[in-house]
Amino acid sequence: MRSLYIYLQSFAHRWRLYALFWGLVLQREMSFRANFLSMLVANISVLFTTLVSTLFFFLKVNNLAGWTFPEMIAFLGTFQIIDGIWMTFAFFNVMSLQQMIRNGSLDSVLLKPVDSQWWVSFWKPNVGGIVDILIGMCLVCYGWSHTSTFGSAYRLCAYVVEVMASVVIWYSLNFIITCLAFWFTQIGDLFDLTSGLYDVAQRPDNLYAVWVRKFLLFLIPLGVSVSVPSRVLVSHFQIIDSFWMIFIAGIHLVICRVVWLYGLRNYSSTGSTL
Amino acid sequence: MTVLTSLKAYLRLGLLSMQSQLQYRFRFYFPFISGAIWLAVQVSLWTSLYDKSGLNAAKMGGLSLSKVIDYVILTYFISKLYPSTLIEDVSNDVRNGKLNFYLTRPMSYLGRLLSEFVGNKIISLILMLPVIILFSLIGGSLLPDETARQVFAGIIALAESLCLAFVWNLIISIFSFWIQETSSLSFWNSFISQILSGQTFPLSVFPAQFQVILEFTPFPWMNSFCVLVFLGEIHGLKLWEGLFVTFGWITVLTCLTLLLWKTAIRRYSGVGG
Repeated sequence: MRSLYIYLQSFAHRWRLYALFWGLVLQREMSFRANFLSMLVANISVLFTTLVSTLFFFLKVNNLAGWTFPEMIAFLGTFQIIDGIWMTFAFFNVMSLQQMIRNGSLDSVLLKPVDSQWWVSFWKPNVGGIVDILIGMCLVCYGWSHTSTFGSAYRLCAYVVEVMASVVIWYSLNFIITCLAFWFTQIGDLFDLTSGLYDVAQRPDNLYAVWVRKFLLFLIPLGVSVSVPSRVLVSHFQIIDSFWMIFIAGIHLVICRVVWLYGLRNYSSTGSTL
Repeated sequence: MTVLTSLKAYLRLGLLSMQSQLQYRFRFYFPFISGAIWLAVQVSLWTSLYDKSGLNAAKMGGLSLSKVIDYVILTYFISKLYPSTLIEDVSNDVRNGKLNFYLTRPMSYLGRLLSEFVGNKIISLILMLPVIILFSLIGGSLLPDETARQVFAGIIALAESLCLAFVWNLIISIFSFWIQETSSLSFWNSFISQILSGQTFPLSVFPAQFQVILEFTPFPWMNSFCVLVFLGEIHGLKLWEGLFVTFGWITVLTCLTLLLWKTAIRRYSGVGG
């Protein structure tokens, strides 16, 4: 009972800390309002261009590998939501971790009375990503409302879970790669590999040969991380694929934790300015 | 004598840029791993569109599936020659006060950027040749029926396209004198120009009227035109017309760049450095 109390206390402590992170970030963003607005305009215009391009494609064809226009809009929205969540909560932190390990500034994090992985993953949220999430939600609502599956609460719940699983996969894979900085000095090029996988994820997996699809689903689920949730919401889906995504997300999270702890054991704080 | 001396200085800068690019020659090949994945995605996408979704050459302005795949591969390699970091570099120089250092040197800052760009891209092109050959061997059909004239015209169109892309990015980069943080501007510019110049997909995807409007902008001349010249889709009078229009855009944008640069330098106050 006491351990549960301690756990809940630490959980509440983390939430309070997280609210503080957001407060600081909002203060900073307010002092760069013009930049924030330009980012907003850039994001909206990029999305508008993507939509118009998709529309132009659908003026020439009826479907894209079996995906109709509304389904494709829901797919694009799903990508936007996953990318938005990832960008808002963890992307910039995970990317800066490599630098923290190299220049020794990770020391100050390790001294804090809070879980170090949690801190390095979420210490600086990015407000701009929220716009992506909202835009993505609008797209999903529009796309979904034009399909026969609209209104199914079961599909919506499953969709939310699948989106969360995809975000966990995106986070874990990138975090694992970043943790390689504990052992190697230059790992930036490895991110070129994941950027290739994002390209794969941005297209419906039906485009690829069956064996490529299976390979992606079972070994590198990043490539199908948008297709599986989108299909759950707007199309026919294999229940086994959905469960597999959740399972593999859990596995990724465990591996991510193990790599972090193992990496910390190898961390020698070279070049620390502490 | 003075002109010759300054030319030598710019040539030296270009050579230095080549050396620095050669220093990291192995890292140069890493992006091609993700590039291979990207190309595989593109090939799957277009094959699926042609085979399963009813897209055909008539709907794509005469481009057959193999031509579209060649288009995508060529575009990918040409995009590697674009000045992708120019806006960021200039913005950093302005923000960090590094520009003060360059302005006190007896050479033009814009000339320095051009020398570095040319030197850097010459080495990129040389380093890229084995990858182009490898991709052609795997892809099978990259430019199989090229004539010497077509290649020559393609090279001239490519040189013009790169010049145009350089000047366009330079104009955008000059805005960093007015805007503190240019990351969103750079992101927006790269996204919009990728779509409108035909880097994301051939411009024949767009409706005919939109394509006509686009021809009055510099975008199609940055990529689409030169790729279509390489593919032999543009020849004769159309080719000359295209080369002339691209040259016209380079001239107009260069004048605009110089004008903007003068205005920007006048309002620049070198803090820090």
